[in-house]
Amino acid sequence: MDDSISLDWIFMGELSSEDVNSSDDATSSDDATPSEDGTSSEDGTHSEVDTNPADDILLATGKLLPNLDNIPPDVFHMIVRYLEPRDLEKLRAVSRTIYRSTQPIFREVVLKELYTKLTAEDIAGICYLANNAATQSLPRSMHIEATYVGDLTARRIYQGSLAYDQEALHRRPEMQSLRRDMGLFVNCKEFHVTLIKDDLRMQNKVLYIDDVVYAAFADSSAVVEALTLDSRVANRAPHEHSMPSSIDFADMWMNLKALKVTEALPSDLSKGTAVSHILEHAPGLRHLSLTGSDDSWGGLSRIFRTASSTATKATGIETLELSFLFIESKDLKSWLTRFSDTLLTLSLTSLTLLSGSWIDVLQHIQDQCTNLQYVFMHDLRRHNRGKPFCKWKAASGREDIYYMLESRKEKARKKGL
Amino acid sequence: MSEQTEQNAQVEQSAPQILTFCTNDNAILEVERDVAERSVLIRHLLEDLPASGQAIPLQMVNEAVMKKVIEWCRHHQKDPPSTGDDDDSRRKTTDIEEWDQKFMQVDQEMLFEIILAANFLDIKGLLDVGCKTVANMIKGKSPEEIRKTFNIQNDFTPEEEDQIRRENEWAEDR
Repeated sequence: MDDSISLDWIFMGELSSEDVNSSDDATSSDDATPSEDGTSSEDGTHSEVDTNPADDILLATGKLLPNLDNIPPDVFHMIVRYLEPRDLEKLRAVSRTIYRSTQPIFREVVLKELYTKLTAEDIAGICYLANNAATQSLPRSMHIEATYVGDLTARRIYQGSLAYDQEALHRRPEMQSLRRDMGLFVNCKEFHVTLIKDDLRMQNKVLYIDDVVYAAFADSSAVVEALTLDSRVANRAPHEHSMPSSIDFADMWMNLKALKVTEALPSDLSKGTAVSHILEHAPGLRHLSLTGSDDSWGGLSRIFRTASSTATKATGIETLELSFLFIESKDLKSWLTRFSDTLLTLSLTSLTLLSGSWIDVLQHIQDQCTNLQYVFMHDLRRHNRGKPFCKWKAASGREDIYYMLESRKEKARKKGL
Repeated sequence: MSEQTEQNAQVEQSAPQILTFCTNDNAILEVERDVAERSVLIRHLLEDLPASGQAIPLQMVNEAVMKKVIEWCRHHQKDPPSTGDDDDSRRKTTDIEEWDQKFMQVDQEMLFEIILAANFLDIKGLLDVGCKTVANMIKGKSPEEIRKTFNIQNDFTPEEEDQIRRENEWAEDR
């Protein structure tokens, strides 16, 4: 070990002062890695393992013994390319010179094999898509608006005086083309599905948003990472209904990371099976948002009950947003417990407790959701107990969240909520 | 094209079958042309330069190393030539055939000298075997064991070591 130090000193002493400075710079900077092809960096400096005329002389005369930390970069890279990631981790912890020399390939390995699990072919495919003029400007989101049949027609359908075919929209040639072409929009992974009112259009109208989900995604080539379901125009649907099941498309939700459901109360999403279908088959869901309707109706929000009773595959919900819902404290606490380990962001807006105490709920958040990084609360109230006790309160960070919850508990206690 | 082929043919006919090399420690070594041409550098040299019969100087290689290189080339004389289209992807296998394993049972200085000579002379097969041998010496070892194996000084500060440990933990968590 001492030999290599002294030889290194001799080696340095034979360089010009400029070269010494360059080398020192490289030593002090963690990012001063040699370029991947082993050539000198842009500013002309060389890393310590870079080949140097003096190196050749010393190697030739036998003064400097060749070793792992002074061989040419291209040879060094040939060696480390035979190493597995775990060995590469150990090697880079050996010395500064080796650390710098291994950085390019370490990043490559971490990126390709450890972080993304992507193969070199996958990476090449992504680069192709990112740099390809034909694909980079393709749409990134798609908004599918389906026309609601209207209240009068809905009533006639419920009464049985008018026939309704749930799969009619799915069979339309336009929808078939859309489903086929979705795979061509390689960047499009975000979808909004909305029911709208349009009295002028006569055809292709639907009664349930579930049928639009089926029409757009059953047997489709889309990759769905974010999905918004908005059925606010739908009338109160008196009957339970099921999404068509001719085609099994449970796999469609494997990549889903964000689901946002917005509906009127008590509308078709709470009585249909679309939300249950999605939650049961979306193991990677990270962001869940449920929005009801801010009307004066005092019954339990069925969309929340529907979501609560679904055997959801998601175990890693990080963001939970609940808005305009009438709920019971035991249900809310059950949700918070279910996602307590992973929950980072919690947003509660215009929630009315039908039973139970807000003090209990707030205490439950403090006790169970210890990883929370951001909490937002607005318009929280007890049913038939007057004005809300919490308006526009937000906190980030463990300490702020603690004090906010403490102050809200005190407020709720004073108001007897 | 035909003129070029004719010239090459004349070179082939007039070229000596035994080549002479002068190493950087002034040793003279005689090598069969077929064996020496395992080196892409030497093959190109012979193609580009007229045969003079004089010893070819090898400033980067000493006698002991060159003898080992010749030994390897002679054993692998009949191997198919390298295609030269080696990609840059990471290689998984470090298996080394038995003869090469024994051949590489030399002290560490000689091992790296052989690797450098193979790199200089452009003998891909020998370079691969050398690199695999060094990779196998690294595999499964802790940083401290690697330092001992290759006689490398730990010049990290405690803070830097801690930083690397965190980076490695981050990578392992993926």
